[in-house]
Amino acid sequence: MDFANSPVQSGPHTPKLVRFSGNSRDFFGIWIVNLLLSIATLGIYSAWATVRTKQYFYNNTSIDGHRFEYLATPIQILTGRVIAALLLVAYMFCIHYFPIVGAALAISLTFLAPWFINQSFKFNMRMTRFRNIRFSFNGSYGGAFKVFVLLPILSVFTLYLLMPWVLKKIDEYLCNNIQFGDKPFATTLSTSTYFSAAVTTLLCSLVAIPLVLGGVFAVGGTLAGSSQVLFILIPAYFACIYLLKAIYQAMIRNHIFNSTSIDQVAELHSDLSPAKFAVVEVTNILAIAATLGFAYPWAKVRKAKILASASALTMLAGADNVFDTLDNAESSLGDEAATLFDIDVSLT
Amino acid sequence: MRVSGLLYPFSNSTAFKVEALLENGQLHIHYGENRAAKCALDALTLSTSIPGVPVQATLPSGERFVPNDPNFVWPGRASPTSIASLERHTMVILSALILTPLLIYALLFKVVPASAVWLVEYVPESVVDTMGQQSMYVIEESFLSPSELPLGTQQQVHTLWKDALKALDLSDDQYQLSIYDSEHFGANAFALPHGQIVLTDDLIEALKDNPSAIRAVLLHEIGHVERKHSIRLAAQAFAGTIAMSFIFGDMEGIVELLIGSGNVVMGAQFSQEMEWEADQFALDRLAHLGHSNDDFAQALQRLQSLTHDNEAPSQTAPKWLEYLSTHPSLEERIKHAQSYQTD
Ligand SMILES: [Zn+2]
Repeated sequence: MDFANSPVQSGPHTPKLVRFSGNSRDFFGIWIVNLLLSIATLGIYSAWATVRTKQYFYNNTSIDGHRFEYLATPIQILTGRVIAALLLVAYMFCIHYFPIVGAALAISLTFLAPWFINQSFKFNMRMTRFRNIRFSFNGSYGGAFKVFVLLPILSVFTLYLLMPWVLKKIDEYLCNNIQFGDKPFATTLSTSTYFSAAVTTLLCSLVAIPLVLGGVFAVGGTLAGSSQVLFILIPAYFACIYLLKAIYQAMIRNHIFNSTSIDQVAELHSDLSPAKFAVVEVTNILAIAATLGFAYPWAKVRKAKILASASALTMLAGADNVFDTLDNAESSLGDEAATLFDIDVSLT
Repeated sequence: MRVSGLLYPFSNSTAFKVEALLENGQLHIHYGENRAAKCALDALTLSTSIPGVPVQATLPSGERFVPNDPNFVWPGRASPTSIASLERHTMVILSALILTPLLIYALLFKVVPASAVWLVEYVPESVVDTMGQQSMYVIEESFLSPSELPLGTQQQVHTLWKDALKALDLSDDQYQLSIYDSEHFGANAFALPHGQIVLTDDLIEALKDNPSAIRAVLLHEIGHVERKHSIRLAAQAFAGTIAMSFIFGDMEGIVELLIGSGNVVMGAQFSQEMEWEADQFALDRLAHLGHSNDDFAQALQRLQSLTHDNEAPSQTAPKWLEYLSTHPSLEERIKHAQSYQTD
């Protein structure tokens, strides 16, 4: 047991690869059994299904042999979902039947949204653990209101020309408020990268959309009914959206990762090829559509693998000296309030 | 037994590669310089078992041990009936593969419609009125223009309508008849939830030599209102959306699309069912009022002949055929109307 006597060396300055060790066979079993139980219990079990799925993906994602962990309990997820479902029912009911109350509700939701977003991030960060240290999110209402409500409204007046800058502000807000234990994340993003990503995506759409439309009409010309054309047009439309989204996401992900470090702990790296990622995303959704959903586990595992293999971390000297701040503060008053809302109010 | 894995001390990011010693119901782990963790196996808190994920153990003193082998089973803690063992079991997976589509079908086509029927009972009258008036406003603005039929013909239809209402004991506060010209709808009739029934010029034109057939069509539309079909359709879309987002909340866009198309199919299926119900209503009332079930069959036959006149033999649907798209085939409906027997 000689090797047991020293801590695992983090090997400073050598990038550690991120690895995803899940496989579609295991996940297919998890997925189909949990789906069946979710339906059979009219959705109640879906909270357990969510937790198991997240645990599967978190635990199978590892950096240098250390696995991520997902700590939320099904009851927390279920409570959040019931609240979200009730809010949704109330909202849809009002919009439908009492338009004025509905409008008032829509306005108040605009003001509540930043709080919900913060809450959701706080929850998801607190529930993520790596090397025994939990993440946390410290965004303020004011900060969230600015990037999620104020700036998007302002960008409307610039005919959305400022939208890439707004998206940059959102990502900066999110990243800079994350902490790993007692060590904060630091991210400095460049506006020009966001604009060039947007322009590249736009240029791709100028090529992709006519191509797809041309293809659809070439095939559609031989079909009689307009309803049959829809069967091709809708998947083609979705394939296009996924293609463009993937190209944009890959570029932005690389930029965010490569501009982010955790104080004294690590530097993040990503070299995801936009073309490769787009191919994976498009073939994934086509496979899911063609198999009526049954390829979903395979697609999800495939995506997790390509994302993991494109990521790496350079460990810095302080990696072994991070302390979990959350455990110590468990009894403080602020935390009491946090546990009261320790739910992710969302349906997804 | 020796198990290799990683040991994480309490609240700290340091980690140690260790070999845990499991002996006599005790767990011993030596790590660092002269540090050790030990406790009884029974005292360990184990993480949930998931296929392909190692089960971690947390000691009462706060240390956490993660075995390297994802398939490692803690002695005395294997439970053959856990969810994880179901998720690994090939037969269970195969049966889930068959049962899941069946259950989705049952949910979309049985549970959701049934809960819609239940929900309808709780929709207040005022809501029904608002819904009906709002949809009528939209339809009128977009697809309808004032009737071009001679006043005399319109009067005849209104007389038929009043007689039918009186015979059925329905108040004319609740039911109104309007006649419109519509290029969009062609020969058609429809009912709105608050009791407004619309006949188009083309339909009256097609049936003008057969007032009994017009009455049969009116009865069919009254059937839709009496059975609260539009509200049920709305309630069902509503219930469907809630149920689907609750159950499939985790999945990504494409799955929602698949489920969405399931919802559309369900909608069409459901509306066909409603047509049968309205047909049945019309036939029952015809019999009740001492008219022939053939009146309705003739109305349908006339509509069918219109279809054949206007249409190339292909499957292309002319605009007004939308009357049929969410409806059962006319042939079947005619057959049903002709073979109707009072019970
Ligand atoms: Zn009908």
